[in-house]
Amino acid sequence: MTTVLDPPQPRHDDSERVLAAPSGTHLRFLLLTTAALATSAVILAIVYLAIPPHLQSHRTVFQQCEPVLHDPAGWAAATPADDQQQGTEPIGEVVGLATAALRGTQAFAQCIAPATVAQRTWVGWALAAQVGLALTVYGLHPWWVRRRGRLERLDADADPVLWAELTDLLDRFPLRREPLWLLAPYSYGQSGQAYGLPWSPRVRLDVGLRLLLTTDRPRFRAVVLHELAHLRNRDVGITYLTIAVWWVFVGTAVPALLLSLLAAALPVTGGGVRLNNGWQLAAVLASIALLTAMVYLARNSVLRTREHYADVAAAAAGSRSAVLAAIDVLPSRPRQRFLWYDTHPAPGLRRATVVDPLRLLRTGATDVLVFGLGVGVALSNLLYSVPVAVGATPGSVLVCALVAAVLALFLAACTRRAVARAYPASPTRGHGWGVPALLGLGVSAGSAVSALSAFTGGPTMVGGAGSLATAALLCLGACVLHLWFTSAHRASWRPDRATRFTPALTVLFVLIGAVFLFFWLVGSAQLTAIRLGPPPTYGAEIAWYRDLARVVATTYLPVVTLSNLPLGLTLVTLACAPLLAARGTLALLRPTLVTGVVAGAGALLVAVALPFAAQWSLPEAVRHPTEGYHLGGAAPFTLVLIYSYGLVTVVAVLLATATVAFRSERMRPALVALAAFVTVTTAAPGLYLLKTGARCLDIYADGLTCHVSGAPVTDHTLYLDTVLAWAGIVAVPVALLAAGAGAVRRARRPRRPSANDVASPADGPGSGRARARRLAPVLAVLLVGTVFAATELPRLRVLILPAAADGATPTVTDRCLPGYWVERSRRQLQPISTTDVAVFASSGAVWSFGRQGVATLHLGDHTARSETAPQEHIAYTSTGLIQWRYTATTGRLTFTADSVSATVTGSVGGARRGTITLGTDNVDDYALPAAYSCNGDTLATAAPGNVVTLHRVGGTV
Amino acid sequence: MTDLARLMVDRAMVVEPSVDAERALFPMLAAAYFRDRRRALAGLRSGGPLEFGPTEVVLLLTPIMLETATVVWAYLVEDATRRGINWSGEAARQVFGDQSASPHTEQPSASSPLALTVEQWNHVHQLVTQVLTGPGRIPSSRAALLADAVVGRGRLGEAPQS
Repeated sequence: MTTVLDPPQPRHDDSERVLAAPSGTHLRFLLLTTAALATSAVILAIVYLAIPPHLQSHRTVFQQCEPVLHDPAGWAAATPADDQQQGTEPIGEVVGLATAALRGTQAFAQCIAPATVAQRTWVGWALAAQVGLALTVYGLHPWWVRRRGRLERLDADADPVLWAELTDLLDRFPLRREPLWLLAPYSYGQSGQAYGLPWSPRVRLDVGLRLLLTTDRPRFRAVVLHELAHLRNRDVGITYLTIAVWWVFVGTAVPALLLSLLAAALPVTGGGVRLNNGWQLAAVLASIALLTAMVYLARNSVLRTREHYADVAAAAAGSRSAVLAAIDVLPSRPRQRFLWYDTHPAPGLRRATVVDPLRLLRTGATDVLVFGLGVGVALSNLLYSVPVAVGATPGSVLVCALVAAVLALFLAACTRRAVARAYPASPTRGHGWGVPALLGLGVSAGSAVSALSAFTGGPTMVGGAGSLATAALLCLGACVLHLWFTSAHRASWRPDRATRFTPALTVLFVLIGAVFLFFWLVGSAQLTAIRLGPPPTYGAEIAWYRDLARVVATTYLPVVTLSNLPLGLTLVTLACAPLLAARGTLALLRPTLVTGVVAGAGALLVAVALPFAAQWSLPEAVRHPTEGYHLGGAAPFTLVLIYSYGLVTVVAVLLATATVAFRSERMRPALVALAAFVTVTTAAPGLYLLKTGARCLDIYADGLTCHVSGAPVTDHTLYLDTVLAWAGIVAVPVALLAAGAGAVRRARRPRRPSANDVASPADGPGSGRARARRLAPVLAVLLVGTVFAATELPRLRVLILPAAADGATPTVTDRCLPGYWVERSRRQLQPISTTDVAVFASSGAVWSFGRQGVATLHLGDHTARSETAPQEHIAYTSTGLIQWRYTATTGRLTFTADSVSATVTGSVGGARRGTITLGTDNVDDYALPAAYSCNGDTLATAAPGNVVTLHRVGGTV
Repeated sequence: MTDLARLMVDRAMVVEPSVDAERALFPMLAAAYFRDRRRALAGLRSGGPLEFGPTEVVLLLTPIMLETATVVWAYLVEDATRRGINWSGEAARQVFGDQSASPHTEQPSASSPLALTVEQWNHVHQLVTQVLTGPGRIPSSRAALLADAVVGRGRLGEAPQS
């Protein structure tokens, strides 16, 4: 058919660039949904405890487990094997202590598991119901829109002219699924509305719009194209889903919380959430109000952005003038140019965006800040909910991965927009520094105002009490990683062709971001906790040696955390991925490679010289003390020698990275990482040189023969990662300063373009051989880096999957047993003297049966009282924890005590007679009787003179 | 009555050519009017997320003419009942000059019992104006024009369509 419009126009160049760049709005939708659900999880956990029976059972379990928390035996120290392996190094001591603390916490967590499992199950079901309700509301929205407007389905026979027009528009703007057209007979406006489910898109047309087809056809088409653009941009599903989530959050979680708070104020209810004071109540209410308002405003901000995108898409597909004409008749309210609270943007802004679509590629400060707040809120609440559900370490790793993915994807979207907008120039400094810094601030602030922080009064705030230092660290880390991604993306992206490297770089950005975030969450709590080591046991009278020994024995927990992360792998990725993406040439890499090799070679020379220097400057009494002990934490000479070389390596890395940062312009972050990696790799054999030199010079004066001396590769990697951790902490600020100084110098003294400035070969055609020659240096670096990084994998596996390292498989065939059980009654015949016996009754002890044949008895404050004692009542009060290995075959249980951390106190007639510490040889009476029957939630065990009935209180262990 | 309203809409096209666009929508608008008369006359605009388009509410004459036809029909029925004449929708359309209503019968002349007097036409004109300015919220000058178009020359004592 003929139309009043011109034939399809070529798409506006700018529009194409805008529509190809990610908007980031879908990510924001996802975040808002996650923030609302995560906050709901925390609120539901609080509401659970507001119910009196739940609170009572929670208190009972916690009281029973309190001794476990305070009992040093529960904090079972690292195993002897661990101690031996970590040896005399200060790092090993710290890791051992941290491991012991972790195990202590795990023992407590295991003890309180019956309570937390019940709470977790309740919250899980409630959350599932909430999600189900949100999905139901979302699923019903097409029905509701149709019913509310009494919409009539349009078909070709009813109005052939309108139908033909709509068909023509669909031909110009094809969609994956054709929408269902519906007319609104009671709506006399001239607007359209896209809605529906993904598999059933719909467009509502006002009857007034039908008249517009006759009176102003271009405007009619502009309106319909706008709605089709919403469908193509997939705005519909996510818009209505987020609205549904918001309403469900406001309609369920918030009232439940308010009711719980109200119930606490009413004395007759006996339940409710009791807060410490009015301030905490105000903080909780303010936190929830803030979150609700934030989600609402951010949601509307996203909706406004989607309107802009639909405008631009409609203008690109049809007539810009018609879209502008349609916008010009929208109502414009003076003094409300920005309409920051509305679901639709102000007409003035819409017009400006259609005229200049590149405006959409800007990233607003408010959007970044609000996004950061949302992430902070979600992070804080997820860190509470997820580890409780799936375990501490996997939960933390999972949350880190998820949150880092969200942050990195958001920053990547900002970068891709900024690069597309500024091309061929560089994005502004505001993008490079402002966006990540604001994001970091938002995350820190968001965690501080989350519902969890309000309830707990702040101690559980993520990132180490939310201090300024940790916030600054997050901002700095975000800036550095963001600069890296911007540099890498800019070097590989061209507007005229799609690059396959962008998704790969984004994935790497997410992974590296997750590593950094994990460090930030775990290590930044002790950001300022640096402790200089004690003076050495031998040689403390030599001032320089004493200072050196104290420096190498310095304890700085963030370094410990950092060195346990795969830093080598990270460094290789940071260096090689951008260079591969940009097809870096040898000319580009040569200055960096030379700088790194020279710095590393310098360190090697020092490694050769150090044993001579030590032999010359230190007396034999220091190098080979006659007594074999060292004061706690003091570094022995061997360690001082090794870590002196570590210090030298750090200095070499520092010099190399500063030099490269000062000199380079293009792809600076990747080149700086490459310089650090090359320096460390070149200097790595120095450890062997040093040890062998020391052995052959016999500076330990122990008479051992001269031979090549070193360490296992994994230990070597740990050493290198420790060096890298120190180097990273020092080199990042120094490299930034050097880069700034280099920029200032270049601004004052312009010079001829160097090899670095030559345009990327990616711009021009090249033969396969030339391409291979370009890639060869990068691939060589990548190969060396992969070998280096591969040695980190065993440590990484242990770090992330501690349980998997055991290779444990289920050994208990009876599936009924695993889980948590509480003893309802135990009646046991026990001798009380050589001639008398008595029946003792007790209840309340908690058993956890694992699938791997391990059972734990949580005694709590378990008291067994005699019922049939001849004269006075006898009571045995047992506290602590007993771990067993058990088997369950053909209806019989057998127990073998594995570890015992418990005591028993006896009393006669209320008078305490004594306490003994239990061991594996005298806890047989605590085991369950051999014959058992397990049926659903009931476990009955019996033996002559011993009957125990248990009730299941939790799922599988 | 629906046919009478359609006739009125056709006649209104003389002074409001844009009403032509409503002809395709007439069945749907009529059904909507009879389903919920008050809502059809209110003529509001809808709203919601992802909506786009001019917010001004356009004037649709179809629901107003349906309301007008209802009022006029009531008057004509009442008058015929008072005079003891059989009355039908076809006859009403004939009174308003619709020749297609009954092609085999002659046009009602001034002497026909179905014919309206000048006073009655004036009353019909007044009823139409009242509806247009009342529920229709049309300015009086424009309403008068539309009423003239609907009534035609009946007020002059001639057949309405001539």
